[in-house]
Amino acid sequence: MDPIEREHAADQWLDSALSQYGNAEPRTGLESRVLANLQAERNRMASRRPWWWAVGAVAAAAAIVAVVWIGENSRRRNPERVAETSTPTHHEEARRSIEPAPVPVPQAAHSAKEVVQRRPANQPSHELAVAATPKLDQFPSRRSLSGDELLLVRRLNEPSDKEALLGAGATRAEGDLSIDSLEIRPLQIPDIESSESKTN
Amino acid sequence: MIAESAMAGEAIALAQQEEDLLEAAVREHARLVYRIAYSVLRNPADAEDATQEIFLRVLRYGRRIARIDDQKAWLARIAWRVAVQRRKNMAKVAAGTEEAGETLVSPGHGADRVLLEQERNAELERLISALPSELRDALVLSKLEEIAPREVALMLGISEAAVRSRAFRAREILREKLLALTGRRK
Repeated sequence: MDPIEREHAADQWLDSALSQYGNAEPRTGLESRVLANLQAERNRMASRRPWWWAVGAVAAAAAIVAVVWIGENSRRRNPERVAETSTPTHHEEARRSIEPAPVPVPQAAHSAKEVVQRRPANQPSHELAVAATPKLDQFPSRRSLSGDELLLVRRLNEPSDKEALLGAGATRAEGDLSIDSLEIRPLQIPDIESSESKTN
Repeated sequence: MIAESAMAGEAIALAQQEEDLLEAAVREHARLVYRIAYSVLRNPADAEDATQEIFLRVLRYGRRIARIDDQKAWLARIAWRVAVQRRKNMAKVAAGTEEAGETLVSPGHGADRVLLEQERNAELERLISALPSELRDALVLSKLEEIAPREVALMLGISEAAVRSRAFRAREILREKLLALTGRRK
């Protein structure tokens, strides 16, 4: 066969083969099978919906009960904690609490090693949670003061300028008071005649 | 009470409308969806499975189907994505199967002609599957009668000119290889 003819034949065959390549026909009844499958899926979805609603409702109810129960428990426990952690409200007490003092190492009633222990099976978990941390004498625990805080405390402890002035005034007032004797001199009127003769 | 029944009636009407729309889409475009899936998967059973999956996805899409302007292009894009994903998931793509050969044979010829056609179709199938994927996709999609080049470009995320250029390059490669094969046989 002539090469040009061969090329032409190959082109023709390729065109027809490619046009057939894409036009594959499905088995008969594809649409009905797809529709039947869709209907089955719809039915499945419809039957699944009430079940999910029930599960959702039960889960929501359980969550509400759990929240209420936890809230009730924490409310029962809270008053004790408030009593333990009451802070001094008086100004003087507050001031005293920030005064520089030898920082005591927070002494636990028990060491952490002693406190951390395995919870027995019959012991409720909240008791272990309380025992796991060492109980401190003071809450919040004391800490060493920073440089700025030390300066502030020193300044608070020093008598202020105003106080110093008031103190000086008070000592002066307390001293002996002495009043000089008053002397009233007679009014001196210059002689009119002598002054006139001077001007002439 | 009246409002409730009106709302229920509206919901039923909407559901019915959705059902009708979906049924119309299946009747109108199932064949196109199948062909797109087949062009990627090259296996009738896999293509039908993909078609079922595509319409199930559309069903889950729900009432929003009514808001789609060009359903054909939209379905074609979904079909392309699903088929490509399936091809990736499949361990082995059936290339040049007997079934594929059968679909390409022209009826009304003698047994020797049929055998020759089958052999050449299998060869073509093998050559197409050996093409680089970007050339193969452009060629295969542009050979589908129902899809315009604009839609092919949208599906592949390239310009129309790029689609034409890729399809042309793919065809040239196939032609050269076919000529080389026939020359070797002679």
